[in-house]
Amino acid sequence: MLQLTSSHIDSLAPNAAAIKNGRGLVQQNKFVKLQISEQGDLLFGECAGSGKSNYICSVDFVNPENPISRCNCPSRQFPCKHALGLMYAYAEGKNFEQSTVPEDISSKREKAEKREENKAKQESGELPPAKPKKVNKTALKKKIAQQIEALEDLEKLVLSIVRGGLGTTNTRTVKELNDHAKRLGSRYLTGAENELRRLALLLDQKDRESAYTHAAEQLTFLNAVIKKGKTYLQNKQEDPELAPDTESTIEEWLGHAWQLAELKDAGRVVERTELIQLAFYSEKDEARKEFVDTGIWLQLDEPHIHRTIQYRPFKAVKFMKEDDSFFSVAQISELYRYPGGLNTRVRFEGMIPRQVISSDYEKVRSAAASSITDVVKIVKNQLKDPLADRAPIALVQASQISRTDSGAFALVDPEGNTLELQDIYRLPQATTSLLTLLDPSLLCDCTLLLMFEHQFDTGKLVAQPLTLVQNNRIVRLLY
Amino acid sequence: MSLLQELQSELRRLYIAGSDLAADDFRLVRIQPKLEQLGERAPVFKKLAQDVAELTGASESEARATKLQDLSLLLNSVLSTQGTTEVTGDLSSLEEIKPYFSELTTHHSYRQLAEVQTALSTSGGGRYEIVTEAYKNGLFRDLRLLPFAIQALNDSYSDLADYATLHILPSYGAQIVPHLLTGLHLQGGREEERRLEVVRKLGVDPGDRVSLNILSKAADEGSDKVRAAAIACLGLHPDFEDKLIEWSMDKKKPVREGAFKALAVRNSELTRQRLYEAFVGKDALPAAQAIAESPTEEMLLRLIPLYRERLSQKSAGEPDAKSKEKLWKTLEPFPIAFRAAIHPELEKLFVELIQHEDRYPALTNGYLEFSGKLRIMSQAAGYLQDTKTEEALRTLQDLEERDVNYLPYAFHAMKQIRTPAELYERYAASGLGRLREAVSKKAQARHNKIMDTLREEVYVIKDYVRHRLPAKEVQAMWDPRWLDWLIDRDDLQLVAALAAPSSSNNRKLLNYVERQIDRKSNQTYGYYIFQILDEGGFDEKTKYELFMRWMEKKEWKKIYSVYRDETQRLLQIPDEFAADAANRLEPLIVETRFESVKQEVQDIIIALRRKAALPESKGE
Repeated sequence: MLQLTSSHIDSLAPNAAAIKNGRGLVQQNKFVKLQISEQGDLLFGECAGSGKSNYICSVDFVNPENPISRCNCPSRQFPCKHALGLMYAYAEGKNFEQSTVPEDISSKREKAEKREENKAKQESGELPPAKPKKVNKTALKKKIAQQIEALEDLEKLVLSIVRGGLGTTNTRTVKELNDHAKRLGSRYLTGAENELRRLALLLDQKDRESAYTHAAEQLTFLNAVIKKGKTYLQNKQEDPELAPDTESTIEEWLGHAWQLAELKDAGRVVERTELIQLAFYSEKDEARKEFVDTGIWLQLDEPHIHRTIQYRPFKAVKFMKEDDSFFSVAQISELYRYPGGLNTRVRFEGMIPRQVISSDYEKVRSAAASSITDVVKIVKNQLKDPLADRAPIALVQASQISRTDSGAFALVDPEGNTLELQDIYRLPQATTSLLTLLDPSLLCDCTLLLMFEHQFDTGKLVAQPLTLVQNNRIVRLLY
Repeated sequence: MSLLQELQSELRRLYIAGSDLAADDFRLVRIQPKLEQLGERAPVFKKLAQDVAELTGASESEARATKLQDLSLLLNSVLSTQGTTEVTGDLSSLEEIKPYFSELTTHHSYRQLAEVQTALSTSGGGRYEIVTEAYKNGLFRDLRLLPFAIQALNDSYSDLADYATLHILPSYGAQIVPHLLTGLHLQGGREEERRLEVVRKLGVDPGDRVSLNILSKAADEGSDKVRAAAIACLGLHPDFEDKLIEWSMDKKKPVREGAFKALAVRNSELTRQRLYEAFVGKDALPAAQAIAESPTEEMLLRLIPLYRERLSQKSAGEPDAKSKEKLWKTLEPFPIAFRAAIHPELEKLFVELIQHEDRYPALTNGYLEFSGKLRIMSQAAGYLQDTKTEEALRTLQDLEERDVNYLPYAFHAMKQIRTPAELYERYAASGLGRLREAVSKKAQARHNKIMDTLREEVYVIKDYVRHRLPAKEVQAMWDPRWLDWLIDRDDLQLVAALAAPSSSNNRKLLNYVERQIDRKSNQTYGYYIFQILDEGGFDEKTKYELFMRWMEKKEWKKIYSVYRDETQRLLQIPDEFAADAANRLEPLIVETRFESVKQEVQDIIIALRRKAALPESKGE
C-alpha cells in the first residue's frame, strides 16, 4: 500500500504557493474523480478547472524514489497543483476508487521500462554501449586556447586594479568589471565570470571600509584562480585526452558544470546510503544571478557532512523547485559526490523518506568531534588552500555554551578549550543571538553544527552555530 | 603572529592605495628585517621577507602588482592556519542572564519561515496579510521568528508595527521584557515607544535589576518619547515613587503624562495625592487619561463626590459662551477618568443624575453646551444599560420618555433583563399604529429611533462589515413577531437580519421576498435577499425557484459581470435541479452584450450539466 505523508508531499512541491493551491483544490472538492491502480502504485484522477474540460492528472509511484507526475494542464511546474492535490487527497484518506491503469500511462510506463532496461544492458555490457561521444579535438583545443586567453585578459584587468588601488575605483570601474565578466562567460569561464561580478558588487557597496577588506580578499582569490587555472589549462592543452580533475575544485571555479555521468565515471558515487539533513538555507547570490539553496546533511553510515546545492537562476525561478528544510531521513540509492574538500557537494536523483529514529540521533551525536583542537586543525588545513570552500562545516561536541563578560559567545569542549561563536559574513542569517533564547539545559552537553570562517581583519577563526543537537532533539537555529 | 597580522593590514592598505605606491613603502621596509630574522627558523618567513623586499624594491609597476597579489596569496594561506579561536575574558553560563523560552519550537521549514522573515525585513505591499496570517497560524511560536517580531516594531508600515505591539510581542509573555529592553535605543522615537508599550503591558519583574536600570536610565536620559514611555513602565515598582512624583512636575508635558500613568498604577497614599492634585490643577486632562487606564477604588471614591459637587455648583448670571466653556473645563476630565470605571458609587451617581437632572444646575438652564451635556448623560446612560438592574432599567426608561434620543440605552438594558416578548411589546406592539407614525412627528422620531437601534442590535460589525447574528441567537433573543412587524414596515435589511423559519409556513416572508425580487430597485440588495433565502427556512425547491427567479429578473442586457456569490450559488444548486437550471440559464445569456459574461455563464452551464449527469455520489 502506498504510504504518503503530507510533509513528504510538501517536500515534492516546487514552492510554497503550489502547496497552498494543491491543498486548496482538495478543500474545495475540485477533484471529480479519484482513482488508484490495483497495484496501488499509481494515483490518477480528474480535477475541475475553470474551463470546460477537467484536467486529467496522475502521479506514478512505480519508482517510489522518484514519483512522476503527469497532467494536461499548461503549468510548467512539476508536480503541478493538480498532481499535488491528488497526493494530498490521498494522504488525507479520501476515497480512491480502484481502477485499471489508463492506456496512455501504461504505454508511457512501458517506454520508460524499456529505457531502463537498455541502460542496464549497456552498463552490464550486454548491449554495445552507446557510441562514445566523439571529442572533437580541434574544437576542444580551440576552446582551451580561448579559455587561456580569457584568463590572461582577466589577469591584466585584475593587475590594473591592483596597481591603481581599490580607493580609486568608482562606478565606471564597476561597469567595466561587469562588462568584462560577461565576456568571460562567453569564453567558457562562467566560474571566473561570477567571481569577477562578485568583486564588482563589493566595489558597488555603500559601506566602503568593510567592502575593501573583502574586495582585497577577492582580488587575491582571483589571483589564485588565474594562476592555478592557467597551469591546469595549459596541461590540458598539451594533452586533450586528459580527464577533468575530479579531486580539486579548479574545474568548478573555471565554470565546469559536472554531469552525473562524469562523476560516475570518476567513481564518485556512493550506493545505498542514508542522509539526514541538519540545516538548510537559501540565499540570493547577485554575483551568480541565482538563488542558491543549500542543504547540509550528515551521511549516516560514514560520518561525512555533505552539502546539496541547488542553483535557481533568477530568470527561471518560476519554473524551478525551491528546496526546503527536510525533517526525515533520506534513503538514497545513488549519491553523487562532487569534487571538493571537507564538505563535498552531493546530488541524488530520488529518495525515499523515513522517520528519524533514536539511533539516527545517536549517529549524529557520535559524528561530532570531541575536541576543538582537532576540528580546528582540519578546518585550517582546508582554509590553507585558497581555492577550497572558505566556510567549512563540522559537528562539534560542547560541554557548555557560555558567554564572556564582553558579551561574546563561546563553545567550551570537554577538554575545556574554547571556540568563539559569532555570525559570519558568508551566511545570510544571524543565529548566534538565538542562543540566549534557548532553554539553558540545552546548552550543556550538546552537539553543535558549526560553519567556520577565517576573518582576515581580526585574525580570528570563528564559527556560527547552525543547529544544536541534544539527546533526541534537533534545534535548528538557521532553517 | 602579530607581525603577520600587521603585514596583512599593510597589504590591505596597499590594495586600497594601489601597488604603484609600494616602492620604498617605509612601513613595509620596516617589517622586512623582522621577517628575515624569523626566516632563519621557518622557511615560509624567509619567502615572505623576500617577497616584501621585491614588492618595495626597484621593479616595474606591472611586476609590483603581481608581487602584491602573490605575496597576499601566500600570506592569506599562512594566516588561515593561524586564526585564533579562543575567547578572552571570564565565562559565565547563559542561564543567569535572561529568562528563556522553553516553549518555543524550531520545527518549521525554511519555506514557511522565509516568507514571514522577508515580509518583516523588506517593504512593499501584501506584507500585513502574510504576518497576521502567520501569527494566527502560530508561526511566531517558532524561536527563529522572535527577533523578527521585535524588529517589526520598527516597520515602516505602522499598521504592521502596531500589530506586533498589540498582538505578536505580548504573546511571548513577560519573558520577552528583558530582551526588549536590551535592544532599547534611548534616543529613539515611535518604535521605542512601542517597545516600551509592550514592556508596560507585560510588566517588569521586580527582581530584574538589569531591566529596571535600563528603564530608569531611559526615564532620565532618553528622548522625550522614550522618557515618557519608560516612566509609564515604572508604576509597579515602589523604589521609583519619589522619582515619579518628581517627573510628574517635569517641564515637559510628555514626561508628566508618562509619570501620571505610572502614578495611577502605583496607587499609594502619596502618589494618589499627587495625581489628585494634578487632576484638580492644570494637568487635569492627562491625569484623567491616566486614571482612565488604571482606575482604582480609592481614586474613584475621591473623584465621585467631587464630580457631584461640581455638577451641583450654581453659576451666577446668564450663561454665555465664555461661562459655558469655563464650566465644561471643570467637568470634562470626569467623563474621561470614568471611561472604564465600574463602581457602585458611580452607578448611584449616574442614577441620580438621570432621575433628578433638575437638582444639578450644571445640567439645566443651558449652562452647558449641548455637546457637553450629551457626553455626560450618554456616559451615565451607557453605564446603566449594562448593569442589568431593575432600577437602572426604570431610570433609563424614564429618560427615554423625556428624550427619545436615549431610547437605544433603554432598549439595550431591557433586552438583557426581560423576555423577548416583553421587549417586542414595549417597542413594537404598544398600540402605536403605522398611521400614527405617519402623522405624529414625535411618533415618527420614535419609530426612526427604534429602527436605528434595531440595526445596531441585530448586526455585529466585524472588520467594517455588518454580520448577521447566528440563527440560534436570533431565535432565542428575538420575538418572532418582529419579523412580521418589519415586513409591514418594508425594511429589507432588518427583515434579512431577523429572517427565521417559523410555524406559519413563512407565507408572508415568501411573498415579501418574491415582491423584493421582482422590484427593479432591489437588484443591488442581493446580499440581503440571499440572506433571507438562506435563513428563512424554505425548502430546497422553493429556495431554488426563488433564486432562479432572481437570476431571471436580472437585466442581462446591462450587466457586465456575474457577481461572485451568484456564481457560487449557481454552482451549488442541488443536483436534481442542475439540469433545469442549465436550461433556464441558456436563454438568458442570449441577451447579454458582453462576451466575458457569456463565457462565464456558459462555463457554469457546462458545470451544471456535468453535475446533472453525475450518478448519485453524495457524501464526498
